[in-house]
Amino acid sequence: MKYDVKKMMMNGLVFPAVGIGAVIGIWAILSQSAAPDLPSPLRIWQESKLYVLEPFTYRGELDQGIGLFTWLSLKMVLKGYALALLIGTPTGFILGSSKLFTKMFDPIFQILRPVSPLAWYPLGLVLFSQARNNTSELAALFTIAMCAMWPTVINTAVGVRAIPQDYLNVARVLKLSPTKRLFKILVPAALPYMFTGYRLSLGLSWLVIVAIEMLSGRPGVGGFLWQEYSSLIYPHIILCIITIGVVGFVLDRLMSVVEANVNHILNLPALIQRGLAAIFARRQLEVSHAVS
Amino acid sequence: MPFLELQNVSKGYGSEISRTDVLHDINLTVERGEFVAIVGYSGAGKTTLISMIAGLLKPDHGTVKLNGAVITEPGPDRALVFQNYSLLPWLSVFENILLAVEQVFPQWPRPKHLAHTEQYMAMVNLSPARNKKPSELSGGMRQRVSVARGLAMDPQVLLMDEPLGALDALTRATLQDEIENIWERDKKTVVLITNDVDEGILLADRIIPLSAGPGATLGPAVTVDLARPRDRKAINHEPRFKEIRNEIITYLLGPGKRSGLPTSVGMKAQKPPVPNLKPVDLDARKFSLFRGGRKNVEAAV
Repeated sequence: MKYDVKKMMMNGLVFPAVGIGAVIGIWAILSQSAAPDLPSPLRIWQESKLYVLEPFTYRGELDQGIGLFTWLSLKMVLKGYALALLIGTPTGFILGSSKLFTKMFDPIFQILRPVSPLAWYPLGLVLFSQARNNTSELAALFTIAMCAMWPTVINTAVGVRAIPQDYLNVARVLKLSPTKRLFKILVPAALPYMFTGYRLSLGLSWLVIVAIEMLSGRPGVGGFLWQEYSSLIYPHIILCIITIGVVGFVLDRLMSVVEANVNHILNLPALIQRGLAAIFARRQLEVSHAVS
Repeated sequence: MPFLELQNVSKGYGSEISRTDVLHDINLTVERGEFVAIVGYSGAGKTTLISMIAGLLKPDHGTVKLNGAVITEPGPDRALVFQNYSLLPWLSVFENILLAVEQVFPQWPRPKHLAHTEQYMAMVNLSPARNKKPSELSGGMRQRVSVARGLAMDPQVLLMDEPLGALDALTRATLQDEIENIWERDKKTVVLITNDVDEGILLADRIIPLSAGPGATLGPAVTVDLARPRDRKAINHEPRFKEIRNEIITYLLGPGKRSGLPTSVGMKAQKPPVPNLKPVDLDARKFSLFRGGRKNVEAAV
């Protein structure tokens, strides 16, 4: 297939650039006229240059390059997200396969699901108050897990319920053991749904960590934002907003690439096996050549 | 003692008042090594019948016995070939068959599993497609995988539920010949469910009509005493073939038909009349032979 380079350039670069340019333009006009407290784009750039151009410089706990702040936030997100998946996936499987479990716990899940991260965090602090040094970290992880696991739970459950009866009949006729049934039939069949849940959960985790950092003053993008607000350095608020948006966007893109390639990921062990077999066969061939 | 035996089997759906018997008082015996075809209307309960033999459903009354033992649950001694193939889409052709082989013969060493799978894949001429996923295969090829999987389990009975129902006429004919060849080779006991009388006669030793539901039951069996191997071209001219076919169709359109009842079959008969033309071209794009077929139909109109 031949790509239309010109069209791709227009769609991928030129049109978005025009749109961004227009927004910056309107912003500049607004900051000069209607909203004098809104920092102008130029001022934001001048004030933020140091943080953007030296993203990994450490000057103090709450005065680091934006790259370092992002990394601190991401580390927390990844830990909390992993916890959310570890709890959410099995819960989703049980919810999807047991009607009794659904009847018992679905109402509770529906009530817990809309609870804001700002409400969970204080409870986390209370729960982990025994841990002296890392109470706030544990509370943050707890909050991320409590908020971010729901899309995983619900999508996994939907995926399990949507498994065609045919596949389950195959399992019955072959008399697969419960473990084999789980890993050979249920998991592969529900995987596309699970990954949709995983993507939504990651987005939520990122949303939650920013809120938690603002509440707790932990170093990170959200913590930096709140501190700069308190120090009246308003341009940095915009810098943080843009950073949060860009990181969230990149995370979502990454996950959708993973999601779109679920089948290939599933094939990975087989592919590696096949590749190794091919290499091994070739080596044998070379050896036999060398011998002859 | 008969090999496979159904005694006074009935099965219904729905709760007490709205309950209807789908199958009523089914009696059937199949001998070891026999190929039996059951022919009937769609919606008559053919799938329900074979699901009970497979053990996926339990009869409300009566018993299903294999080798004298009552069937209570599904098992690999009764392999099933479904109309919709029931292949696992995330596994390749080879892996789909291998999963069944591993499961049925856990005591075998790994090389024997692989060789056995290889053998049955070759039997249905699918070795070149071994690493393909079901979604990359045509309907006919998928059904071959399904048949190979069923046979590789070395079942006591092979149950086939309209295995060729979703295929086009040409593929259907090819696969019928293949099934006949394979059966000639290892003489498995087979119960074939079909809505195609000719298919039943071509393949089976005995053909039994199933009357229209609700309350469907088996009609008189007809022994297909045509010599094997049967040639589909020659068989069309045999008087005995026509006789058997007449007998079955006469039953299905006569005593086996229950018109006037609000069944799915009855409803279908009341559909508005269809224009009187032959849809010769529906698959025109698949077969270049019939290219330009759409114009032909327009001309016929």
